[in-house]
Amino acid sequence: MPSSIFSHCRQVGRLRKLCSTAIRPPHGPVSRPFSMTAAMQQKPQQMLRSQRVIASELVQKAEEKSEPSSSSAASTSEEVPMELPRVQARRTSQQNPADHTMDVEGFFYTVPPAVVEPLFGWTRPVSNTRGAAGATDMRSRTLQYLHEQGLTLREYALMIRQPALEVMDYIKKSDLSLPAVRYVLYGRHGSGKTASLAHILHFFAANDWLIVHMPRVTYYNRHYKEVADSTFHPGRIDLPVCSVEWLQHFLSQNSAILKDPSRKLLTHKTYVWSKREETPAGSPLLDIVELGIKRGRYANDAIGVLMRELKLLAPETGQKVGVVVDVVNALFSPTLIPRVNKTTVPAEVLSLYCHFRSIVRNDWTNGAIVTSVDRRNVTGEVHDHDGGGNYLPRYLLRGPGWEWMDPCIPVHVKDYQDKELTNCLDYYMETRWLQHENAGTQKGRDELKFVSGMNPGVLRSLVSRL
Amino acid sequence: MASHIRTSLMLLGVRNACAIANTERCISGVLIPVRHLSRMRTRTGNKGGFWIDRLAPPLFDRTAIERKLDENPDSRFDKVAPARIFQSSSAFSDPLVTKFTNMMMLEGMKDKAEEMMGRALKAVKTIQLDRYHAADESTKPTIILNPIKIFHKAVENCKPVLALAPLKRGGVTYQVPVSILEKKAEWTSMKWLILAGRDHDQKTDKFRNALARELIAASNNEGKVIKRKFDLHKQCEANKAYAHYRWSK
Repeated sequence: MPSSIFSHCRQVGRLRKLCSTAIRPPHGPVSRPFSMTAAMQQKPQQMLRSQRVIASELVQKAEEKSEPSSSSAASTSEEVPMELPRVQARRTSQQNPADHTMDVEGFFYTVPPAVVEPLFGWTRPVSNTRGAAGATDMRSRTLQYLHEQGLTLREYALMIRQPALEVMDYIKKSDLSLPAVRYVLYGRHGSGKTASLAHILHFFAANDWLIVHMPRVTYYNRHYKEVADSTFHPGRIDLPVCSVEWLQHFLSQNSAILKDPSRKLLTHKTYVWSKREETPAGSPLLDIVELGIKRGRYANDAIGVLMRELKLLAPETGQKVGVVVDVVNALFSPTLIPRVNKTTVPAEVLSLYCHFRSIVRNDWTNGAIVTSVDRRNVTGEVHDHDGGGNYLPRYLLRGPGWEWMDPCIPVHVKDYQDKELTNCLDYYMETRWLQHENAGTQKGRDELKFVSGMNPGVLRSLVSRL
Repeated sequence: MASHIRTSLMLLGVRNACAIANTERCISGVLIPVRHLSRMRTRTGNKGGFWIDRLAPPLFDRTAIERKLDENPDSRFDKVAPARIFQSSSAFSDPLVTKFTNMMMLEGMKDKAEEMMGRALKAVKTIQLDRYHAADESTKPTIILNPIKIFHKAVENCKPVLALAPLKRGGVTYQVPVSILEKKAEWTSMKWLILAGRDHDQKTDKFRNALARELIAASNNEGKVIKRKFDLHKQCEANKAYAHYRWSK
């Protein structure tokens, strides 16, 4: 039948287009009729894995002479875009991060949709415009690119990488009756520190840990929203609106644990908020959180109470507490919040930072503290004179921060390895995020690899336009 | 070392990278930069045509360079013309996109223009992927997701076939329909697209989003720019009576 013959030609033509860059001999275009099988036998090692898969599929299809119905529909319209090679990224079906081992390093796993919203708070649509709803939401700022990508690609997939596996392995093997161990993730900008923290956060959530999560400390440099003097501690500065937001974030991450009476998370002493408002000793921790959310004026103090109680409750009740703080060095760097006398608020005075400094102290047990250090948007004179290259924890934490965080376990988040980069590109192609024809060729991939310098963040920005 | 530099330059799409790659083979292992243009002009003089016509064209593919050298080993002594600014060895470069980026650039801020172009292409892809996921299985294959293809299609669709030229005849200026060169039509199309992108609500919208929407609309033969093209064609049709002024004094 003519239509089936046509479909055969069309498929081989597509195949030739696919394989031309990979298989074509160095001396120009092939003069003789293109022989698929011969070319594959000659230089199969030069083809990409994905191309080999599709090539074999297409050869099978061509031999089987696919149904004329589909081909006739395709042949009539010129609008049909050429399909990219159908690549399958390497994935694992293990959705509990505790099950992840080095065997699946570099693989993707999908965060279950039911977990995504309460854990990361990606409810609102991402807005590209400044000042619109969602743009200044603290929760949507957590891994914003993943949020965007998830909305576009209809799934939230994280790559399993060595630093997160290492930290999770340490946590699983450590003795929690000893003071909480602090892990500090460090690495180049865009190397995946926050993504690793997200993986660890999911590990905590999936294994019944209570989570204290600060998405990004530097967020408050710009988005402080409202500033008030502290009533409880004269001289300190409160951020009421931000603190309410954080408490809502805390509640959504831990609502199951906080609402479970069998956990016996009860306060140790009576907290007097004002003449008429007080929380008696022995009331559930949830009351403190809800009071802070309802009464913005006391939200900062409620966070302070929460941190104090969690430190006491963790060893008493056996409830494990996982602390995740992104950009922990900002807790020790001056903020950009202006004061009346035209100075900025130092970090020691901001009560929100004080409470988080207290929880990253290792003076409590039955918990783990995972932090990261980053140089982006962190203020301080030291960052202006180092040429932009130093990302080591000792350097970024500086004197006071290092004294506070010592001892800690530094974990280096490196750039991609070859297999990770390949799998990442495969993932982008599988989810149709990478559309360029040359993205599947060896030349294109080599270029992406070279120009990105194997840095995940740079690769992401390169791929976003292709 | 030299080959590493050559590779990196070629991959980064640096101007003259391949010219360097060609001349580099003259003396093994030593990297010789292409001479400065003014120097070249002095050496070749003005005899026998324009100087650049007597130089070998630059090549952008490593295999092409090797093939040329295999065919004619003496070609390593060729003087190679410098690469044009839009010519690149990158697998992802596109001359039309480069041209468009240059046209939308303001005050020489090329980095900014490239960033904006990249974001617009990303926005195109995002919008199309949303449509793709919302569509049913039968219409999915017809949705073009590649932003570069959409861009090319949009530019092609927005090209006018005629233009109006103001010609003064008998003391009166007439808008005379004239034919338009391919290059000018392309320029007009891109200029209109850029102006359509700039025409957005400054408070709530961004150039990249407006441009992305306009590109997608134009690729489907819809939108402001297509309307502008039709308006021009209508005006040309209305001024058909003046067409002979083009040839008469």
